[in-house]
Amino acid sequence: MSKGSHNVLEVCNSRYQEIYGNYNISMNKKIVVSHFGEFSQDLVNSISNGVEEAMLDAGDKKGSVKRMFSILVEGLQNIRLHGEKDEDGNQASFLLIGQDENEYLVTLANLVFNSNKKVIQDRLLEINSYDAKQVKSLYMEVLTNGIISNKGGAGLGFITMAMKSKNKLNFNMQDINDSLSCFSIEIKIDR
Amino acid sequence: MSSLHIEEGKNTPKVNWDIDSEIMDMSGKSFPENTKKFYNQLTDWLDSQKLTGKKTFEFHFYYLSSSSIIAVYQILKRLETASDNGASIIVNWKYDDGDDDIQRIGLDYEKITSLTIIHKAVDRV
Repeated sequence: MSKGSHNVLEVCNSRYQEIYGNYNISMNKKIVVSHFGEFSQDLVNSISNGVEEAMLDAGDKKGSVKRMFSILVEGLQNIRLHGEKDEDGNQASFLLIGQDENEYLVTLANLVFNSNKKVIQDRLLEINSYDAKQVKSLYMEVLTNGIISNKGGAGLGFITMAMKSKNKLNFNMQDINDSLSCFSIEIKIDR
Repeated sequence: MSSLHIEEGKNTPKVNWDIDSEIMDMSGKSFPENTKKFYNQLTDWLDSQKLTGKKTFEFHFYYLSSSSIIAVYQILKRLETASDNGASIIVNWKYDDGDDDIQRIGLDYEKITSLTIIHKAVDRV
């Protein structure tokens, strides 16, 4: 491993540890899922299905279960499609889900090129500035004009997360080096 | 090929489309990672066929990822074209009773297409 990418993984991992500690200790939440590293397609499926089952067993409202499933599928597929890699080809990314009696907090993170930071930030700030009606209007606009890219995505991911969460999307960009940052997004789901 | 049959996958729906049949059926969960790759099969098939006469396209989804919602709309646009060209197309949009998400998607489609869409809640099997 070159020194450069040791640093990329380290920075991303320390962000992961920071959020883990924040959920677990500061916020006194139970950690339901924690994964650092790449997400295979099978892992995406098993996490989504596994959390769905666990929530149903816990007696969570059906609406909350479906919203969580949707957020996990959208979020983890986003990571697979858009998460950048470090110099050694590691797609450094992570997922954390913290739970208490009132809510679930889901943090998803992946590497992004610094040249893409502004587009992502502007998009999220835009979505966060809208009320539910405006988000729905944006959704209809993207749906009507939507194109599916060759990668397979279609630009509705963040909008869908905002609609499912019914809360603002918290996000953070942590600079790592000249080309990469660690982008994390936190979604709250009421139980 | 005058028919398109795709078996249900881990995250892709089942498709039973036969040009000689009146009912064209699609059902299941849709969250393929590469939405374009899966749905190109369907749109390419539609583009290669001449839809005439009476056809009922039935959809019954349990989950649609955001890019799948767009992909299904692209199918509906082709049905709309066929309808404009003289085919008699009806869309049956089925959803499990109580599944507000899938119901809502059908209602959203209705706002942006001229197709006749019949919304049907079905009892969960």
